Amino acid sequence: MSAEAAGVLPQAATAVRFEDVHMAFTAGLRKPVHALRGLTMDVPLGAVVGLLGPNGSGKTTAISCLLRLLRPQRGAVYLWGEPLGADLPPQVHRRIGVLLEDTRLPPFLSVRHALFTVGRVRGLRDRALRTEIDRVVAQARVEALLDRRVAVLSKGQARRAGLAAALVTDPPLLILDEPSAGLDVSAREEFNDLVRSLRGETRTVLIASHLLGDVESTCTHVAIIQTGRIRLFETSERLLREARRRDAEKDIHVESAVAALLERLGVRFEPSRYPGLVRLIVEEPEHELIGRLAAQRIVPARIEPRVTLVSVYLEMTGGDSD
Amino acid sequence: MRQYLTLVRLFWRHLVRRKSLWIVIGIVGVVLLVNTMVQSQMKEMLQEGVRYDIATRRAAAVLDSYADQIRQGAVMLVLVVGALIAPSSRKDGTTQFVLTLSVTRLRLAAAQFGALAIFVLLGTLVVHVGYAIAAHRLGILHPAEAMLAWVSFFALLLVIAAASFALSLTRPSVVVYAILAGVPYLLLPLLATFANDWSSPHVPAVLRLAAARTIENAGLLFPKIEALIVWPRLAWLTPERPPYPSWRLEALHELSAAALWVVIGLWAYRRHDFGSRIPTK
Repeated sequence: MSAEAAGVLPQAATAVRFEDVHMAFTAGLRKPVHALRGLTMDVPLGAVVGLLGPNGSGKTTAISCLLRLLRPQRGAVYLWGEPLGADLPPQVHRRIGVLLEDTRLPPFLSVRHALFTVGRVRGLRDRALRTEIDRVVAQARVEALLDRRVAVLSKGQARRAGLAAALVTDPPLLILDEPSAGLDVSAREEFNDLVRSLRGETRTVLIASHLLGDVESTCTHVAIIQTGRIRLFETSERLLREARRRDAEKDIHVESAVAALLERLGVRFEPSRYPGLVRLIVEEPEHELIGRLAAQRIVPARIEPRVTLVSVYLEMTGGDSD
Repeated sequence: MRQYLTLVRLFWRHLVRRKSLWIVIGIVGVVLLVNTMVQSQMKEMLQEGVRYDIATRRAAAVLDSYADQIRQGAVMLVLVVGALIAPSSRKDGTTQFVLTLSVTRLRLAAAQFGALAIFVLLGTLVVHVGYAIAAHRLGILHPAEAMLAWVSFFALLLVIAAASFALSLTRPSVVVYAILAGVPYLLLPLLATFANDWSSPHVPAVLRLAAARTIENAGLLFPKIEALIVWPRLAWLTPERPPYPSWRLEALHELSAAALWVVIGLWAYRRHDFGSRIPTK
């Protein structure tokens, strides 16, 4: 079943809109914790948005507000241009697939039963139901897990089963909260492959994560949230291009012993954060500079890996981890 | 409707898998069994050499005492089980999972209550059929009476289940037990005893009377459905069997008290946030 087949979407430029959303929590007599302080963000139709932020920045709270698990104290959330009330409105039925960080499929069901339950709740019957379950099982690659109880699945397997459930009826909006948190490297890679395969013109995906590498490899847009506000919202491509442009001249480090030679060559440099090295300020194409150095038998001691979202993220959040 | 039935089935499976459910049922079963054994031994000793009609009458009396135990045990059991399903499904994420499938809160609660109603229905049916067969053999229960009695038994237990369940939609089981069982059966009787025996020269009599009245009236806010349950016998009104004079008022009061807690529970549920932290109001 395609996203279009699930129903005609309301005409709106954005799939999700948060408008000045506020949410505060209390614990006993302690001071309230403001999880969201006027969160405003538009998620364009068809975008894969990575919502990045340190622990406690408000990612999960924002998603809980979107799903009406929490009711914002102020502000509004819109889905395809429609404001949300106390419950998700009936017209979005079958249009949202959700994989939350701390919510698994019912632990007492087998994966097969859980998927069929999801299909039935979403209105599928008989042959259509079986066909749809076969499709999501193949897509999420959970064939081997079908007869196992959810309670005995490993974290990675439970995530894959959860994603399969989220994909039932091929919803045009997918919400994934920390989808690959706690997975080992190979499971993460496999999971990210799966998420990448879900990109489509009509499907919007919102991924909350603090794993920058995952967001970088899967998302078309990046939103950085800090202290309950959006600090940056940009396409991943533009963000990285900008970051690389700014940071390209800082990539090459050479032994400080060759400083005098560098000066004679007219290559500017500055102290490196690595002991015994200096960092070159690159003012010409990188390969030309390396060629000139090679001619003088200067071999770079360290060429930094290309700029990633990490540097942008750290710059935006000031390295805040909590 | 199909979506609702799917959810009822989901929560039925959730309920019958609760270990706590079977522990509660086991405890009630053991208590009843011990009582039965003790009474049987006593009756056996007493009935040695007695006539058939006297033995039958004694057996009927024993059966009646069992019914009395079941009546009281059933109310407490249903109150306890009523508050199991919603808190445990919130805890293991089943509630949140169902809500993320675009199921409304009211439908979710209705499905959970549907599963609970099935449990009460099956439980009362098993108890009732077992009792009715024994009573019918002794000739002390008419089938029509038995049928009517079961319907009222089931309906009244469902009322107390509803009150317990509604409160448990937002509160842990222990809190529900404290409110619906702890306050009316423990706290208020204790306070009432204290207030009635309270004699102090420093406190005016009018104040002591006001305290006693307040405690007494506070008790009216809590349903005591067992007062209405006449299981295992209930007959249509006939001139030969006049009704208990104040049963209508009594019934209205108990049902209103149960409805009060249902309304409070649903009101809180409507405003409840399903997060791990408590939002500021």
